[in-house]
Amino acid sequence: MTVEKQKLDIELKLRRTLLAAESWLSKKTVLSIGKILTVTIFILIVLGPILYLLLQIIVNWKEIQTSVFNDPILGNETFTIMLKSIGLSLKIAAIVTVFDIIVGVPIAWILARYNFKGKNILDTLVDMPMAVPTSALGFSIYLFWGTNNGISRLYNSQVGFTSQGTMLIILAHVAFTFPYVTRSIKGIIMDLDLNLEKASRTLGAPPFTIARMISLPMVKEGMLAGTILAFTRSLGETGATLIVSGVYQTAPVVIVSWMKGLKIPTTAFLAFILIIISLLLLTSVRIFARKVGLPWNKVFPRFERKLSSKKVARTRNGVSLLLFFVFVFIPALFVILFLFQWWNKSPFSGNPQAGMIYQVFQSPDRKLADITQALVTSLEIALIVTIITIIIATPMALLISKMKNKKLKGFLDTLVDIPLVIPSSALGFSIFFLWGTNGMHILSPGFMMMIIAHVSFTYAYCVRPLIGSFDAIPTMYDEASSVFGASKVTTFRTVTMPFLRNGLIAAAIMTFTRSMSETGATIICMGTERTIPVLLVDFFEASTFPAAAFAATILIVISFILLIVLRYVTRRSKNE
Amino acid sequence: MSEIRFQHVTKIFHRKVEAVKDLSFIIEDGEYISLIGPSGCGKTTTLRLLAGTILPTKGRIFFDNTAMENISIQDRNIGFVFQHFAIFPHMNIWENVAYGPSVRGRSKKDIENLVEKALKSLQLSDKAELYPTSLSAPDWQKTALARVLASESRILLLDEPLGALDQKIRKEFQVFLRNLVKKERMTAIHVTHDQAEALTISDRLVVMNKGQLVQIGAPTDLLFTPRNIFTSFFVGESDFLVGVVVDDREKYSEVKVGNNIIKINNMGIERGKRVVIAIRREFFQIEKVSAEDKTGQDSKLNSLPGVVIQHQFLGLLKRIKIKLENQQIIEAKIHAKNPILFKEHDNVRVIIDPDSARSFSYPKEGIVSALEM
Repeated sequence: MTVEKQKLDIELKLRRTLLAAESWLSKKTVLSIGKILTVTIFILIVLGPILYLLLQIIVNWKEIQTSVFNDPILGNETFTIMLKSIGLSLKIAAIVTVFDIIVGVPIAWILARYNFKGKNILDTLVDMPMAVPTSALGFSIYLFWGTNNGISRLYNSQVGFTSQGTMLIILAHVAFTFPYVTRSIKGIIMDLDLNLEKASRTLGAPPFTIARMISLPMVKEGMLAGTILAFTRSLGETGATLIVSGVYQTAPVVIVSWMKGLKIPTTAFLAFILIIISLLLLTSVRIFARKVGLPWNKVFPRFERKLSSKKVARTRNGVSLLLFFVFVFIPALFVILFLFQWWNKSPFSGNPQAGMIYQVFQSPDRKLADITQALVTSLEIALIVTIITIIIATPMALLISKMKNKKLKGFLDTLVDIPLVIPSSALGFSIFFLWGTNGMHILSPGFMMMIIAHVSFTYAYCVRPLIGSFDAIPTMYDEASSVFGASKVTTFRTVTMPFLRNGLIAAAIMTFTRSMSETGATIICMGTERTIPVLLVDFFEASTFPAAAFAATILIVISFILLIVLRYVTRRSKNE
Repeated sequence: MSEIRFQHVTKIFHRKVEAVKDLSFIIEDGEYISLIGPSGCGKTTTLRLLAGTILPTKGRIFFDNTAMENISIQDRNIGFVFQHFAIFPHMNIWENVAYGPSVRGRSKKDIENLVEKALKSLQLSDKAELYPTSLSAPDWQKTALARVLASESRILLLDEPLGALDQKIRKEFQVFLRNLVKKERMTAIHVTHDQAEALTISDRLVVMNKGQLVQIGAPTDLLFTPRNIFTSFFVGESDFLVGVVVDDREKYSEVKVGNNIIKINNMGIERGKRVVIAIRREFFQIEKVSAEDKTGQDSKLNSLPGVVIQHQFLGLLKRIKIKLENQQIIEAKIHAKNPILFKEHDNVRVIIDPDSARSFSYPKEGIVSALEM
């Protein structure tokens, strides 16, 4: 009995201490300090490097001018390369985005509106290229389209369907940008009020007209957001592009190669221009998203009725799915097939030294050790980055979600999105620039710098969905909790957190996958260490394809597992 | 003791929207008060000011002479029943009810006693282990009330608490709620848009419009002796006649309406002034007038002549629309069992009971804007 009583006493004491501590933390001054700290960390980690880059460009303008425009040997050759690479990047991004919309919108529609067997599987497959590291994806696509192992086998050709270059870059970019469009539109289509469509149906409009005039205008904003994400992802991608580009260099690839050549001032200038372009895109979308209308308010009853017929709808769905499988799914996973073809010998010459087993497990350069080491580094970084990002992103998401000043809220909201649209190699370069020898001189490229770089580009991936999670919690629960005597921090622990749990898990997985798969910023900040996506690029450049395929397969499997977990978690949160 | 005092309370949102204007009134200990008024009148803002989720821009609120402006929500010890109940979905009923005392740092034993007592008085004891998702609206309602009881609040705020229940259960709950509040000796402030509910459940009602207090009083006061045009219009149903006072004797005044003169309660409006007479639709009496007796005027009967233009069944009542001589249209509600059948184009006289008519001086801004919500 006395033991029982002692236990109760201890429980009471602990609870009272906790409540008192939480009550202290809920004090206005303490909370204000917390807010300031949150914003400071955000500025330091995410905005700081970009601002510093801008500052340095202005301060060292003369030096940059010399190296970019008036190099004693090269003249303005550097600038020409720069313009060419940016032009190429923009061109590719534009083509890729158009393709994404053409294929992505019908597939989003299928996933949102139709019910069929295997819908869940298709849904997962569509999301997959987003989770798989782009270098693995790019390698797989290169194998499929660009070598004699892939599609060209179907017609017995000795060379690939297309060689490294613009065409192959476009094919690779479509594969990993397409899910951004599909996913963002699918979500909105599912939230649409079906009654509006039923109403226009009763007024005599055929389905195609309804989709065009009623439903699509409502998904416009989401479509634009998804499109811009796809565009900027294509503009800023490094990992896959390094593999598929060959001599055709896009801007992020140029950044990486100049960085390797330690041409710091010119790299800084290019990174700066890329950042400006991305920011302009982001802000213009923010400003114009509401104002842009869809073209054609005219109705073409006969033509659209024809387009709405079951036959046409079925054909359209079929073609979209076919395009998805041929251009995205099969090339993206071809590397696994390749791995089995080259398991222990070359399928062409039968040479066992060209097979995967020899290259990874038996060759004297100990690739297995490299792979294990890189995998461990990748997992370590991803884990640490996930923990740090969640800790610093959650208060920011809460801050933005609860902010009452609408203008300031909108401003912060846009700021948070910046790392989403900036090419990661440019961001990585800014971080190298600020923290490394050219800036504060605290870090040199290596493990710590990689962690900082990863935190800065995963930050937005974490804050964005968490803002949504916070917004989704009805305010009445917070109010109820405080009315019944809980302080703000107690309310957060006892009421907000349980609501947030699934959102947090989802954000953590997103952060983890992004960190695992990133290439561009990692190459710039890594020093001598290797993460597994970077190792894959190394293997590719050393032409040890079977070893690269082995690494790529490992990456695909890991991301696939994470994706399944993510889907499980988010689906459960929706059901609740 | 839990007396609540509003002292010139004003709340301005976004620097320009005056949600509540110069509100002053006292709620006595143990009183059941309802706030009614058209939507946007400021009743919910008033409730939130009490709860402390928002603070007054000007003025002060006192609980038992303690000013509330520096006391945060969690320290006000208020019980709140939310419109959608706000039962925490991740806690079972027991944990929901225990939430108040446990975040206030009560001992386990106290908590157990409080929760069990609260659950018992709301007949929820057998549902303690269930989660909100497996219960229905009436049980959420009970849980919300049990949560208030367990946190031993003396002040109970209710924001449209019965809105989510269906009509029949709603009626039962009105009685239940009032009895519970009286038994626990709480002071209750109840916001509702349902007039009948407010009139049934409360000791006094506060009528609000455009952020201002229009009238405060017992249900019968508001129904039978409204003190202004808005209250007579908003509480129950009234028609308005406009006339000029031609004579003001001691008890009754004589008012000229159109070409007729009627007698009504003298409410202190001077001779020669324009007046608005408010009469409850249920208080009109109608009589048929034969075709010969066209004038219909009978000074003894205190009536106005008119023609029936529409009649309609409303269940237990009948609605008769009548066009008066001065072209004004009024509606009378008479019992459905009234043996006289009124048809369209019937000539009738509308008899006015001088004691149930209320008269107010004609508003400067005109009747329509005086009634504007």
